[in-house]
Amino acid sequence: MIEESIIKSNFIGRDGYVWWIGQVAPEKSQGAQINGSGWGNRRKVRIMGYHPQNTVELPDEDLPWATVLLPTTAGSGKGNKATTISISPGDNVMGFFADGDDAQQPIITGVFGNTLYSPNGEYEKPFQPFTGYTSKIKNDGSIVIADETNEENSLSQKSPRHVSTDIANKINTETERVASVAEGKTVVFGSSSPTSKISKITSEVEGLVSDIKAIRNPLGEISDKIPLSKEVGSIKGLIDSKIDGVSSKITGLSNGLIGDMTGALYKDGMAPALNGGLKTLYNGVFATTFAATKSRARAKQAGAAAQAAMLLPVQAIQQFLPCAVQNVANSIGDSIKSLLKGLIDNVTNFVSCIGEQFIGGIMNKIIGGLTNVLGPLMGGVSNILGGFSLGGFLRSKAAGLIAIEKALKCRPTFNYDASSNEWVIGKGPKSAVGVSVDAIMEAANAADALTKGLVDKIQDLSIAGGSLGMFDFLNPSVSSPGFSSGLGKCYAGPPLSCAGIKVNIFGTNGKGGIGKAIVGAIVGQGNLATGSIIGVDLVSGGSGYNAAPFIEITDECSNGYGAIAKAVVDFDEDSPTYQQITDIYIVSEGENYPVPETETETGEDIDYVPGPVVILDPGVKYDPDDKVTDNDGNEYTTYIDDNGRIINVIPPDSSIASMKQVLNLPELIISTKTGRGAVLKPTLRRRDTYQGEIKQVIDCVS
Amino acid sequence: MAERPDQNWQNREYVNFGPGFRIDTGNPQMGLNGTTVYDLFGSGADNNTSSLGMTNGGLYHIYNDQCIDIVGGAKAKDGECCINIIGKNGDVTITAMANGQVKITGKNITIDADEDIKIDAGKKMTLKASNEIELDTPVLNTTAMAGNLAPRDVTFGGLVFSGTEVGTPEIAKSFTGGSFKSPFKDMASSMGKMAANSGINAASIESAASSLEDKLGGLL
Repeated sequence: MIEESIIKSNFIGRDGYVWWIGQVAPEKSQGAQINGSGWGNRRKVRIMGYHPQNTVELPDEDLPWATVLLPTTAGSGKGNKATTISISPGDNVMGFFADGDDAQQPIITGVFGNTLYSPNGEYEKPFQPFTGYTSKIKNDGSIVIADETNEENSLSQKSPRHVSTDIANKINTETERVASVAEGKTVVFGSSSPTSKISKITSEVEGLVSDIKAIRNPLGEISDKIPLSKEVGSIKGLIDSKIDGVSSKITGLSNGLIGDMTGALYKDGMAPALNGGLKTLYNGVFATTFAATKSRARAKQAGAAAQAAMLLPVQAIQQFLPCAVQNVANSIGDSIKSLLKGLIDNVTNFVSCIGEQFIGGIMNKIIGGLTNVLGPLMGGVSNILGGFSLGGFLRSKAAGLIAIEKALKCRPTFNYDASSNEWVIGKGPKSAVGVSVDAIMEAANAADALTKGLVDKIQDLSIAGGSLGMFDFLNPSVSSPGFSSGLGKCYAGPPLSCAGIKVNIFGTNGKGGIGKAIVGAIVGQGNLATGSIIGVDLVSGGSGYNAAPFIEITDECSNGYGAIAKAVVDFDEDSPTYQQITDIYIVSEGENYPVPETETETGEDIDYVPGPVVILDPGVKYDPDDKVTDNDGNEYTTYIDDNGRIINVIPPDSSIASMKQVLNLPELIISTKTGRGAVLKPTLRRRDTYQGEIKQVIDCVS
Repeated sequence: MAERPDQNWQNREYVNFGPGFRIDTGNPQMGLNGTTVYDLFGSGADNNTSSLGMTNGGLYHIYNDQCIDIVGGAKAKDGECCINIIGKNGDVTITAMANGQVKITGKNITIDADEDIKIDAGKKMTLKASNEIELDTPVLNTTAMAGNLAPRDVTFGGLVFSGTEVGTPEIAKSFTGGSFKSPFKDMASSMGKMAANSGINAASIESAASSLEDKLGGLL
C-alpha cells in the first residue's frame, strides 16, 4: 500500500492510461440528467470488468457518472460554440478513468457504431444489447424507418426517398419511405386555354383515383375491389372528404364549361336559328297579307309586326342567360359526386378513355340541364324555331364549342419559347395527355344513346337518375381483362403488359422529334429484367424547334423513375439542321425501367456506341494535350481553342475502330492539369458497320 | 423491382439527430428527379414531414405537409424590399391545388406584363373600385350577349333581330338594358313641341328629328 502510494502521483496523466469499455445505462437511471436538469455532459455507464453484470449487486441508479469528452469540432460552449452529445441508452462506449486505478471518474471518449446484428429489444439486464429509443424518443417507423444501426452500408439509416408513395411501395414497403406525400402528384398550371378546364378535370380525377388508392391501400396489399360502401370509420371519413373536395373542385371547373357552352348555344345556335325563323315568319306573313290585301305596304307592316311580336319572348331568353348558367351549375354538384363514387368503385387504373367518359358524363349533365332550363322559354318562340333542337345542337357542336376561343378582334397568339402546362411534383414538366374533345362528345353521345335505350326498358337507373349516361367506369367489370362495352374497349384495370418506354418530346412549337430510350445497367432476367436509361436514340430531330423541348421518359406501368434527359437544338441559321433536335443527353439515368427488345426492323440486334458529345460548358484553361476518355477506355478527339475552351469532342469512329458496346451510362473523364469547369455530356448512337481497323494510310496527293 | 447496380455509396454522408431530423448528402438512392445532392428531412407530430434539398436532376425542393411561412422584412422600412421571388429564366407559377384560394393583398398592386394579360374566371369576375374604374385603351371590345354593356349589335336579341324589319330603336330598347340611354332620346318630341309652339310644320320636324335621333342613337 505504502509502495503503491509512493509510486503513484495521483495526478491525472502521470499514473498511466486506464481505459475501459462500458454500456450506457437505461433511460430510467439517467434521471434528470437527460430531462432538462442535467449538469455537464454525463451518462451513467456500466463498465465491463469493474461493475457486476447484474443490478442486484449494483443497481443502474448507483453507477458512476461518466463525463463525455467532446471532440474539438463540437465546441465547449464558450463563445456560444456547442454541439449536443449524441449518446443513447444501450450505447457501447469507450473511455478512461480520470482517477486511474481508483476507477471512480470515468470519461467517455468514443462510441461504437451499432450494427444490424446487435439486438435492439427492451432493456433486460446489464451488458445485453438493448434499444436506444426511450419513453421520450420514439419512432414507429412510418415516416423514417426505425433503424438503430450506424454502418457503412446502404441499409443503414436509409433516408426517405423522393418518389411517389406508389413507387415506394413497389420498390419495397419495408425499406422505403417517401420524403413527401406530395411527390409524384400532377399540378395543372393556370391557363386560359379553352381546353385547360378539361385537362384540370382529368387531372383531378386521376389524382383522386391515386389518393383513394393510397388511403385504402397504403401498402398495396389490400384488394382494390372492395366497394366504397364497405369502407367504414375513419377510412370512410377520409375517402368522403377527398371525394367532397374533388367534387367541389370539378364543379367549379364545370362552371366554366357551362358558361362557354351556354354562350356558344346562344350565339352560334339559337341566334342564327331564331334569326332565320324571323325571316321565314316575315315572308310567310307578308305573303299571306299580300294575298289578302294586294297591298305591299300592309303586307310589309304585317310582317314587321309579326317579327316585333317576337321581341318579348326573345328578350325573356336573353334575360335568362345568366340564370341558365347558374341553374345548371347549381344542379351539377351531386351528379359529379355520384360519378366520382362510381368511378372510384370500379376503376383500378385511370386511363385516358375513362377521363374522356367522365367528362362526357359532365357534358351530358350540362346538355341535359341547359335543355331543361331553357326548354320552357323556347315555347314562346316555337313558331320561329324551325327544326332547331337545343340538345341536338349541343350534342353535335359541343366538341367544337369548348375547344374554340371566343373570337375577339386581333386576339394575340401567345408564343412561348418552351412551356409546360403540367408539372409533376418532385420530378418536373409533364407532357399533358392529349385531350380529345371529339372523343369526349363521342363518349357522351354514345352513353346517352345507351341510357335512353335502357330507360325505355328499366324505369330507373341508379346513377344520378340515369340522366348522365351509361359509362364504362360505372361498370363493375371495367377493370377486368378483356372488358368491352357498347362504348368500346376501355379496360381500366392494371396494365396487362409493362413493356414499352415512351420518350415524350414536348413543350415548344417544334414538331416531329422522336427518340427511343436505350436501356442499360440491366438487372434481373427475362420479364423481370429492369434497367436504367443510358441514352436516347434520336430517331428524328423534327423541325421548327424555337427552343429546346422538354423530354419526359415514362413506361406503361409507371415502374421506372428518375430518368431525366435534355434535348439540344441547333440554333445556327446556316446549319442544315437549324431548329432541329441534334442530341438528347441523359442527366439522370433512373432505374427500374422495363427492358425493351433492342432489335431493328430487320430483326438484327442493335448495339450502341459513344455518340456526339454535348458541351454544356467549355470550361477554361484546357491544354491542347489534354485528353478526354470514357470509362470504357475510348479516347475522344478533342478540340481546344486558343482560350483554353473545349469546343468540340468527337468519339472514335465505330466503323473503323473496335469499340465495346455501351452497357452502362458512359462517364467522360478529362485528363488535365490546368483546365477546369468543362461539362461534357455523352450520348449514344447506333454502331456503324465495322469495316476493320485502318492498317495503312496512303497519301495520294504527294 | 430492383435498384440499379454500382451505386455510389462512397459519397453518402449523413447526420441523424434522432428520428426527427437528418441531414443527408450524396445519397445515391434514385428519386423522381435523380439522386440526392443533399436533403434536410424532418418529421414531427401527427406524421407531418418537411424536406428541403436538391436532387441531381437539378430540382431544388421545399416540401412541408402543413403551412410554409415565408416572412421577410420584419425590420425593413417602407419602400424597402422584403421578399423577392425571381425566375431568372422561364416561368413563375402559383397554383392553389384542391379548392384553395389565391389571395394577394397590398396597398397598391401592380401587374405589369411586357405583352399580354389574361384573366379567366370559370364563374364570375368582379372588378370593384370605390372611386373609379378606368379602362385606358384605344380599342375596347366585348362579346357579351347580355348585360348593360353589351352593344346592341352583339346582344343575343340584336343577333336574332339582325336584318329584320323590326326597327333599330325597338331592338335597342328591348335588348341593351337601357344603360346606354341615348342623349338624343326624346329629341324628336321636344323638337316637335318647339315647332308647334313656333307655328312651323310640327309633324315634319318631328319626323325628321326622329330619324336623326335613331341615327345618332345608333352611334352608341
